[in-house]
Amino acid sequence: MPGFTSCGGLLPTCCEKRAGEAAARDSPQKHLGCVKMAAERRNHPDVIAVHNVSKLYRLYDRPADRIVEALSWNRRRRHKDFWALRDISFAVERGETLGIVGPNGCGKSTLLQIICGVLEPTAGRVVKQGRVAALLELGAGFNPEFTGRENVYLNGEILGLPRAEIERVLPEIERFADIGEFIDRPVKTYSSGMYVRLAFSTAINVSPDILVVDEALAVGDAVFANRCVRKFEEIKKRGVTVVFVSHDLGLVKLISDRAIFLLNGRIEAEGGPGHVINRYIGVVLERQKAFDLAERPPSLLPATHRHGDRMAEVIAVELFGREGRPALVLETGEPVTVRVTSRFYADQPDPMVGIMIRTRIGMDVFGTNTKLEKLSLGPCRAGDTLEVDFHFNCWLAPQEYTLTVATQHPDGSSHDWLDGVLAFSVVAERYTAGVANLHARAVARRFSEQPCR
Amino acid sequence: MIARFTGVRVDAAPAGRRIDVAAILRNESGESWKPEAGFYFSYQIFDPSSGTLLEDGRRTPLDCDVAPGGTASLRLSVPLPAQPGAYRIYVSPLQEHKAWFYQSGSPFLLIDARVENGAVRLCRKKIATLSRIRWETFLRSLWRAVVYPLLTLGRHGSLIRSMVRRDIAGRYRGSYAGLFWTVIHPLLMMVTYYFVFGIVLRTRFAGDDRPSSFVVYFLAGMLPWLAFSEAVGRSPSVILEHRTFVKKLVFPVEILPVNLAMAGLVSEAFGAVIFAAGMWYFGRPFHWTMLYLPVLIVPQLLFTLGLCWFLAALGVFFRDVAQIMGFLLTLWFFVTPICYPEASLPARWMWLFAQNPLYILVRSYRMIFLEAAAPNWRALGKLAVLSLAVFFAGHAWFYKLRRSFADLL
Repeated sequence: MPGFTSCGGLLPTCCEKRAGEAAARDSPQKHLGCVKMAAERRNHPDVIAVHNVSKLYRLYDRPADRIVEALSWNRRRRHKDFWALRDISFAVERGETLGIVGPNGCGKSTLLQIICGVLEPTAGRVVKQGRVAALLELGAGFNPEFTGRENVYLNGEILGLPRAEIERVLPEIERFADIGEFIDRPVKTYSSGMYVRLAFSTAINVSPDILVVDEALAVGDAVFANRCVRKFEEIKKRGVTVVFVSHDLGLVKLISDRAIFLLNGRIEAEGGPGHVINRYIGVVLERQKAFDLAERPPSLLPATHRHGDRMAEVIAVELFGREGRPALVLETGEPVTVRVTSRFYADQPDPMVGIMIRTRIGMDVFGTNTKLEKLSLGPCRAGDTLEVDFHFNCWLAPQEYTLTVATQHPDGSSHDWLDGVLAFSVVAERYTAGVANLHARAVARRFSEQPCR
Repeated sequence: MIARFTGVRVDAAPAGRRIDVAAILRNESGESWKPEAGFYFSYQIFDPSSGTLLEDGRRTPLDCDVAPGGTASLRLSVPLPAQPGAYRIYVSPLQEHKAWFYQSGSPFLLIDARVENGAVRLCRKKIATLSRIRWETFLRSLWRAVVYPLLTLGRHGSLIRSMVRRDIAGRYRGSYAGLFWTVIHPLLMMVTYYFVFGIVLRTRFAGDDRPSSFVVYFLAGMLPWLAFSEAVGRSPSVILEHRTFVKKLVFPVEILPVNLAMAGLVSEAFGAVIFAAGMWYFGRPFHWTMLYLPVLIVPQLLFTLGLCWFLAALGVFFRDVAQIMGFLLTLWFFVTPICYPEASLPARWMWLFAQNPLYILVRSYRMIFLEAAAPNWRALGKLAVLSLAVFFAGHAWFYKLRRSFADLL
């Protein structure tokens, strides 16, 4: 759980120290995993309450069977059952952003549709407060023959906005979508990127109370995605509740306060996004190899999450600063060594060892492995112990970081993957914004009307 | 499986979200309730508005065997969920893996409660049977069937208006003549029919021998038909065409058929322009009786709307409806005396043809526009009753089937 374990005491310092744009972007919302913040937010009423929701799809052999069953009072069964969702309960508070992750077919979209009210749950119910804007599909409800502007009007009206109100927000929608003169051209001439920009811009600017987004940001380019992330932060401050589904785990980590991991129609994990995503990665990417783990005691490294087939095991992770002193506080630019020691329990022709540095909110800052560094570890035998050192200069901005290490198969699946195995902080004499210290040099030249002497 | 409830006590625990229930149950069935045979007391919590099950309660085991005629004391507490809202609780014995007693007709204890600000408020408790509850639900759905269509029209008025406007404007978008097609289309159709019936077959109306008589009589009959056939013809496929509205948008689907009926009326208005031009061209007088038009429009609209709702929902389940409707409408057009005089219908079957709502409408249009007469109130009354029935029944049908649209598309 990178960054979510120990932030209570550190929260004020990191908030006070930031200034300007950095403060605006890295506002305290990002640290909502903290117990303290969570307790404060408890006072807010739940905007969405999902209560024991289950969704049963009835698979019919013929469509006519369905109408016979729908209209008959005695409900004779003419179908096979498929439970897309089973006993889902959670609540989302005002201004909270909830990310939903899970493999394909796990019921994410069905859940979103039920939250929107598009689908009826088979059992349970969803209680919502406020107007819902849904982005379930790219430009759903857009008429391709009409211009972007006309479609914005129609979409706004569908969302229940009076015409005058749409006229008021139209400039903002145009500005955010940034599609130039295309706003007055038929939507059928749009690229898919323009489509999503306009749809997203409309949904986000019609001041909904609840915004539901399903994979809609996947199409936009990096600039637009960045703008969306900032917009999410902004509407969160306005008290808009966001529920979204994404396969972009980085995005989920970045913007959600809480996440839910759905698997086969049930909630597999719920909580801080870092924690949930680690569970997700562990469950989904883990190779189920027939290898007996029972005989070995698990090593006692304090990982927030650990997965892998344990054909090899990380038995020690050490961090050394200048002159080889063991360190958990580093200076910006200090030469650093990360030492990963692992033991092999099975013969491995070509293993690799990797490290990843993340910020407290789980953003990947830097990662590499022996393969990328062109270091061949060669075949390892069962019983071998392998020590790998990574040397680098720690040009990171002053902040808290966590270290994730892994030993892997050549295809990237894990022997042993440890998230957040140790936390370290970087200090510096001067404050810089962001995560990297690119040691910039500031030079100024002044030009004035009068000739210089 | 019959249990008689007596001495019922229901208390809401003031602090917690809990309801305590106590009652004496008498076994009025032929078999004894044995704990080892899976007999329990329990409860279920439902959502009163949709009737969906929210929670299955914890089982409370029976203390001992209850022989037929014997009594048992029921004591259980129902913890209510934290989510605010209305809850309906059924308290009843059950036999595990077989059935709840209430499902097989036994009386049970029904409690309506609300959770507000984290506290429980009791609204109603009564001993009920499932058939009584079903009857209540049925009566309420009758009430809904009357109120909901009016709410639909009232609440979404402005959305309907702008969607109809867009529908008309979008229909010929991209074509050169654009909006003019709305006028050109009926005009060309009129010219075609005029050639076949007016010139080739020499159809004449009401003993009026002038060739212009065909034009004006035909146009007057065409007005209600234009509105009706356009709306009804498109209705079976309207939900399919708007599948993203159903599946991907938070959208009141029930207004889609309304849009069709309204767009039909707009077409009728364009037809009326041609009709007025024809009247003026042939030097026909305008009678004051045409002010009766709204009296005709209202039942016509209600009838069209009801039929549109019915067909729109049906079209989701049976895609064939759209194909059949094309043929049915052609048949309906020729059965209705629009391009020939009423007198040409076989007199022996006149009683049957006169039941056709479109016949009544066409006849009434001609009376008020061409014959300076008030419409036939008797026939119009019949039409009004039929229209109201179709209107409410159509909406109820649509409303009941609407829930499964998203699963089907």
